[in-house]
Amino acid sequence: MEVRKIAKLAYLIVEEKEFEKEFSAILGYVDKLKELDVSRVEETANLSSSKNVFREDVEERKETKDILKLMPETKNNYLEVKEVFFENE
Amino acid sequence: MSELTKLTIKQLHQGLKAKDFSSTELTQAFLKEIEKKDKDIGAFLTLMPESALEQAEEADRKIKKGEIDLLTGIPCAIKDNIMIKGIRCTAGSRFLEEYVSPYDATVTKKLKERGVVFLGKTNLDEFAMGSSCENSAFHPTKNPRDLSRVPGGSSGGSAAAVAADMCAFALGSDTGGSIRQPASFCGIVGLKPTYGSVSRYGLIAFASSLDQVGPMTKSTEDARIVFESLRGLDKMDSTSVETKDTEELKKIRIGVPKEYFGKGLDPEIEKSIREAIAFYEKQGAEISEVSLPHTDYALACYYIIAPSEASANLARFDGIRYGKVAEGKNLMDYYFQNRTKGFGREVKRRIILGTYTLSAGYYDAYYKKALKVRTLIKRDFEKAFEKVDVILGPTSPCLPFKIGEKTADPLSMYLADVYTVSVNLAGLPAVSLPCGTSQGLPVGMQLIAPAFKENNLFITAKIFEQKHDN
Repeated sequence: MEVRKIAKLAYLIVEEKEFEKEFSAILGYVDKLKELDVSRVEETANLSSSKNVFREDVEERKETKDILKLMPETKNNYLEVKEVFFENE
Repeated sequence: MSELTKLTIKQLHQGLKAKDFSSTELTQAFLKEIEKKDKDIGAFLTLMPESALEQAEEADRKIKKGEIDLLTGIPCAIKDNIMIKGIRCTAGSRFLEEYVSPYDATVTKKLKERGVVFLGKTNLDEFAMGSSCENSAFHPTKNPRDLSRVPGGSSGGSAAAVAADMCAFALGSDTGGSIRQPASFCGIVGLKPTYGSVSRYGLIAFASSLDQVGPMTKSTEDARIVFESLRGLDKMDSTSVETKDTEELKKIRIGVPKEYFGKGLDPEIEKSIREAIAFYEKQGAEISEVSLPHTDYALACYYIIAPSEASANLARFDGIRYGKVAEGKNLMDYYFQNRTKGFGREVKRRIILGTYTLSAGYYDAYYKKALKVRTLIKRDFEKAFEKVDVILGPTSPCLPFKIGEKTADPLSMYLADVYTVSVNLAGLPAVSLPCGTSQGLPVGMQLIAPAFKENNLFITAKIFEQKHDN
């Protein structure tokens, strides 16, 4: 497992060799699932028996202001983020 | 007044009703215990003494008017991944150090409606990932039964607060054992309800197909009281359902899984559990051996599914919406800096693991395979429950371990969850209750029931609690 490459997918910076030993132990352990033949078994992704749950398309939430206050940068009641497009240095 | 803090909810309710003491006096007694003990234990992350006393006064006004519910005026603590409006909610993470809950979790709202008093928010492993409370970004919590040992995790703060009489009850959350294992380590009762029976709205998500909120209490009757006030359909959590009590059991049939007594189980714990089984047999319960053949694969299955879901759930913490911990040259750099500085080691470990098991080329071999094994684990329980009403075994394979003992080897920490994770994978209800001590440390017994049959757990546990001399 290329730890640094995977970490990058998750927007995390890891040092060279960081986590490597632990991951090889953990992945070595979970590899025991290979012993099982599950070719004819269906998957269980969720235990909920509910189907799609719909509601009326009306505004219900009243906490918008409080939520905006928690955001580090806001402007005119909008969330402000850093520039997305920039010139390469 | 210090004796008050030792009482169960039921006993406190009787005292409040009889006006032997007021909720204000009770709340003051708990705050005093916290002041006296918590500097050594470290169960709390946030204390709310002023609002607690206001809530207590409000409860006293209600009681005076005769409007008393079982939970009116009862002081409790809430795990710090469950939101109380206007109160900081950290999930044990630097990322949320200054995050103030903008709304109440449904469970909090329900408790407020019943008139409880909130004393504070309790410590946890960061984002509920851990079995020892040592992964908290703030400080570790110590086990009140032995301060050199861990209280278990991730709801270690809640368990320690109940065990040390710093609250009458607490709420925890359980994704792979996070209510039951700390309950076992601290010698209290912890209930993980059936998946869907309690709303998770306002619980900071870890692994959404596994997470449940539940009570941590001093007796099984208290667990029942709190559970009954929490459960029910909530439109804000579409996995929640309305449930009803199941009928009483005429003769209790207890199944003992042979796979739960294999290698890795502390012989002292095995002895306590065997004694509990013998006790039930003497009480007239029907004991039989059952088999859960895929037990050995449950932990591997869990440590693929939970990190996979966590990697998706924790993608939202990028320094933009929920507070920041770093700056960056541009948007991409800002993401990387915030996520790298904001998350602790265990959380990063699980995000990377989950990203890997969901990544192209590995998805089928790991995630999809784990979902199929999950079906097998679920079927094992369904088959066992054709013959029995509850399954009995140990909650944890080991006694509370020393602080620092397992931190260097994450896999050895994961192995502490071996008996608890399969219950979450199958979505079943389970309770851990004290069943003796070994070397002065608490031993916990786990009872597991079919989905939505929490009643089987309460009935079975109560027999042990009432008649067994601990």
